[in-house]
Amino acid sequence: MYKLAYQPGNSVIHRLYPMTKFSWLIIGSFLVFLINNGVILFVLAGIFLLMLHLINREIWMVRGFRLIIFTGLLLLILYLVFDKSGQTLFDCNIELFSLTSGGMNTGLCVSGRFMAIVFLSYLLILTTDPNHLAYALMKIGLPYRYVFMLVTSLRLAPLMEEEGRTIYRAQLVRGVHYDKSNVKKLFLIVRQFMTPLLISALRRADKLAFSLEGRGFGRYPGRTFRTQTNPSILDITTSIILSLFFAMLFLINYGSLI
Amino acid sequence: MTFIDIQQFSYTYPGEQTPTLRNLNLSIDQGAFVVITGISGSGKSTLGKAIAGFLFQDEEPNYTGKIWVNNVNMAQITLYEASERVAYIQQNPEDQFCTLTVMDEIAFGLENLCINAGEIDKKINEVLSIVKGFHLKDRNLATLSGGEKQKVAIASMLALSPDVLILDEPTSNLDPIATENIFKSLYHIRQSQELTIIIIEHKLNQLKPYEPETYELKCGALKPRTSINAYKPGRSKAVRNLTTNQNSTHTENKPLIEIHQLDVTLGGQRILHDINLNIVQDEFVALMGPNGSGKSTLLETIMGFHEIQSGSITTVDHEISKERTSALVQHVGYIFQNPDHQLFTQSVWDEATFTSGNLHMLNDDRKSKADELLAQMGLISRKNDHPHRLSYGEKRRLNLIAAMLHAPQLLLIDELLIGQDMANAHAWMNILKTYTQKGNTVVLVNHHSDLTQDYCDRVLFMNDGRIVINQTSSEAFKTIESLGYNAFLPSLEWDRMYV
Repeated sequence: MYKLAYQPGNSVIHRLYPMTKFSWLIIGSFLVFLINNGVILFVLAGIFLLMLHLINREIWMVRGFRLIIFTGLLLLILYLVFDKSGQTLFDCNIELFSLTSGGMNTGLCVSGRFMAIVFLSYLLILTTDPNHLAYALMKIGLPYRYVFMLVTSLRLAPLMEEEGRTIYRAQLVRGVHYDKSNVKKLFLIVRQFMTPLLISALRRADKLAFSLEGRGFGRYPGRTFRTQTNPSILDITTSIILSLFFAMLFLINYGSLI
Repeated sequence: MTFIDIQQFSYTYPGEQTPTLRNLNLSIDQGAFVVITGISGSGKSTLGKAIAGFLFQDEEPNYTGKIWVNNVNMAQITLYEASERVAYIQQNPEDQFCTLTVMDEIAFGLENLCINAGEIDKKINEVLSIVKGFHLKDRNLATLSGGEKQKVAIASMLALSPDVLILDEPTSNLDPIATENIFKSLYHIRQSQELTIIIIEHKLNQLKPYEPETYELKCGALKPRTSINAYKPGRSKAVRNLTTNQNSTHTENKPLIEIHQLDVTLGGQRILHDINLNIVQDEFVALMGPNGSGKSTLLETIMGFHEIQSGSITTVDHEISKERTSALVQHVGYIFQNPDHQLFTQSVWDEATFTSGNLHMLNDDRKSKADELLAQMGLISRKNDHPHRLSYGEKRRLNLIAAMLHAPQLLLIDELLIGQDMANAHAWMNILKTYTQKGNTVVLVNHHSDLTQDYCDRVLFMNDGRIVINQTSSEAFKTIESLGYNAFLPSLEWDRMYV
């Protein structure tokens, strides 16, 4: 099992400017709510899944991924079974197992939307170095003092994870049993786990504040950025293709209305 | 010319009664190479922070006297202005990193000061060459070794072109080789950059070749300047004679740890190679070696924290691959590196008796033993205090009591002496020595060669995941010298080599 985290690579999506990807995640999530044709949404989710598979062959091994697919399909099945609106498409004399157009479309819509948005987020997370995203956000004018919180949490998260592991082990060698305890005892053990973790986090924050101030953080409203990543021709081309792609989906979806 | 001028300076931390620094006078010339030493809690870090201007930010002034750096009164300028003059590097470089990569980290301060990008790139190259860390340029901070991290921390401060560089125990997490490396770099930086460098440090042996001006802080007051060679840390001769090493091999005793052809791979990287080892009852074993050589992993594997790829370990009659760590608790005490990670309860007493309580062994005998140990370690008056309110040294002592109270046959300790002065260190080694004389075994990860030589029966020296030396202490140091690990030799050897 892998963690859901940035994995370095050299695919087209990897090479896109972080803000391009971030903007398209937001635009895409918005657009899938405008499309109301279940088949289109389901196919869209399928396309995103294919892209995920192309950038990472081991996508099935990413923690939580199978649960997403399972939830998506479960949503579809629940709608098929319980939503009996619209025309009957398939009748097998048992009401629960007969298919109706309403159930089919709503099911595909809900499940397709859910999976499309999740897959799109996965595409962003797996291909974007969060550090670059943070710097890109600062560059477009978000106050750097706030965006640095993202950088700091990225830096501290693995350290805290490691600390958590050590604290757990330290409890183990002092005779603490997580598995042999009742609820009340478990609550106490968890508190005993959180106390050192919290104290250590506060201590870190204190030292980091010291270091930030000692290096002029926040001295001026603006700051320079050494890393000069800029949108390239690739970002423009990709954005045009995506615009055309979504326009086409809309045309298919709402075509009959025009 | 006096560059740093401290006159009658006293400082009391908010909420405290006794001043941490008292009527301090000190003058340091431009370009001086200064060491400030003293026992734990003597106010060394506070003095460093005072010079760096960090203590003058409180609303109510709790200091008297003056600190001038290059004719500027540090109390009257903002922290930002102070940081342009004096750079302060904290003990653990990890704590002061603000970004994720080496280049971002060095650029960080410059970016905040709105220096233009081209200039920043030039500066990055320049400071990396100064610390001889140019090869680290494209690395991620998380992949660096302790010594490399320290170099990047120094480089990121040098980038701001300060006049004074203050380092608070820069080598406390480093092995002797990395320590030597850092001191050498600092000495060259001071020469080539005309910087004034102040190092706050316990480990003086390895600074001797550079002949720094040495000052000792004692209870908040500064003793007059001495030569580093004249400085003798508090070492009691009586203690030394009492525990003269007998170098017995104890081979006839019962084996407590038996390791046979052990390999351990973590995260796809092989950390331990072909380890073969027997440790028997009554032994006091020092585990030495450079950072990253696998010492901690070996201890963790003995305790059953890692999966074993091949080979076998038996710890106090429990075969590790078959048993859970919890089965070992009664027989093995384990102390981790960071005291804060192993204090769980709300009072010192609860902490001391925690393990015994969990093992349902907390009878009256054990309770009086706890009182006895707390008294012996000077913690009895703090019995009802919250463990996290103790000082670093006190926490370490509490860790030791907490691991020892249920009288495990085997005590595994991953660094006990970091940041401790010599007097304390001797006291603790004595306690451990006595513990082994009562039929128990101690395995201690230790960088301190003097103490190893004085107290330990056997030395295991690891390098690159293998045990390269497994000999009695007296023989081991000869082998260490013959293999060229000179930085790991005791101070007498150092004196012979450098004085």
